[in-house]
Amino acid sequence: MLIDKSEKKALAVTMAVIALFVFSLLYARNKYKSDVPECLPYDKAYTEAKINRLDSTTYQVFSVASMWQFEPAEIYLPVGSEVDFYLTSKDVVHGFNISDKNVNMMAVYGAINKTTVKFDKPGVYNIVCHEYCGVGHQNMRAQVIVNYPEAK
Amino acid sequence: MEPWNEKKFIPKGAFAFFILLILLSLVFWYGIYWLMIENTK
Repeated sequence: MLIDKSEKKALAVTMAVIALFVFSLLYARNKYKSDVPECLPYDKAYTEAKINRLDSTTYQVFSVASMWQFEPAEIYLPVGSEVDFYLTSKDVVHGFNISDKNVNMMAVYGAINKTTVKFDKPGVYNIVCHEYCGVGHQNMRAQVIVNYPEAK
Repeated sequence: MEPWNEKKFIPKGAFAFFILLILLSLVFWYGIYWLMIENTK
């Protein structure tokens, strides 16, 4: 196959850029321990909204979405907390997006989705439903309040 | 003088477009990459 010299150069540059993207992703995945959410086997224990404090900076949040609220609606955490979110729905499919964090999950009836988030900066992080779920969808939100170490 | 259609044609516009396309894609891609890394902190 005859390929023009300039076409060869363009192909080489394109492949180099794609390789750069792939290695950047692998680098970030290893350095920042980022991972995709998991889907856990269904267990009724996760359908009751609660916050478990495992130690001073490790928490479990069992978040339950329903028309049109998230429970718990306010989650108070100290700075530097690592939180495992276990998410499910009581009715239809809802979205679960934490602003300024790489969290984008679906709350699905009969399924448990899990992700881990670290909150190193103090502030208020809004959790919003980003999957249309009915007339009250736009008011469906919750907050993660990351305070200084004296937080509740 | 050689005829106009036998001159060596160099597609300068296409080269410039390709280089700009690569640079623009790098800017967009690493912009989102950086934002997502900031969101992990």
